Amino acid sequence: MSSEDIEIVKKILAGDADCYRHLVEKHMNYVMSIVSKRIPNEQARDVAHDVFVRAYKSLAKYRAESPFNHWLAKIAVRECYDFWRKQYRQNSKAREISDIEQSISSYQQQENRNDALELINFALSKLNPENRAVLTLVHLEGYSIAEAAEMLGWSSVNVKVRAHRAREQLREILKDVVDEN
Amino acid sequence: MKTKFTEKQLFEAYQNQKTPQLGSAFVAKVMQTIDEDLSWQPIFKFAAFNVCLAGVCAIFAVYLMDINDLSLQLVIDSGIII
Repeated sequence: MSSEDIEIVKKILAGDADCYRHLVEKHMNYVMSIVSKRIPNEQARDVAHDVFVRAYKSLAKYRAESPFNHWLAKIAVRECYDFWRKQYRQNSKAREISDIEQSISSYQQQENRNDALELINFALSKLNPENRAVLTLVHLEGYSIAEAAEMLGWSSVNVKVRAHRAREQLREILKDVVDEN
Repeated sequence: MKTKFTEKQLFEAYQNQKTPQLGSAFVAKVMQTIDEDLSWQPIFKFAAFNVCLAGVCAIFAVYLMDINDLSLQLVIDSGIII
């Protein structure tokens, strides 16, 4: 646990808002490493910005029971989840009429995209925000069910069920491009 | 022609994504947003205080009307006269 971070938090809460600059400088690339995996590059910077603003507003709730960067990671994961929920709501109509039936193989053929990263991101975009968040944490980043539940603020049972369903859904989406051998 | 990947390759592609680095411009932007937010705080607090004060006054006025058996019109009229 970084006592330096805790000291800075205490100073900020005592009224020295400018000290927050040190926390931003220290943790910005860590937050960006979480955000940039989940959010398209052109929006990742804005989401990372919102993470720090949200963290600042919630600073009084930080209890120093866990390292500051763990607490920040939780906020980053939730901010990304909120981002996809907003996107999902905005695009739900368009998705209904256009690409919900679009398979990954047709995407690959149409766009001539053979990059593994683009394919996995395309497959993730087909999941709803809840399944996407859980699958990313549990299957792609290797967090335990309990850790993922804590990060998202959900029950462990909910995370476990969703992680299983999301993995099945991803397999279904990727079936045409994944080599079983 | 389609390219086949293993699930492992796709997962690794996700895990090995490069992280764009942030610089001082990012820090400045965050601090600017926070400063702007802080500058609004006293105004919001003042507005919230006034709303609460108006609410307390309204409750007190209704209480006075009730114990003195006054009508709302009478209270409004007396307010205008004052």
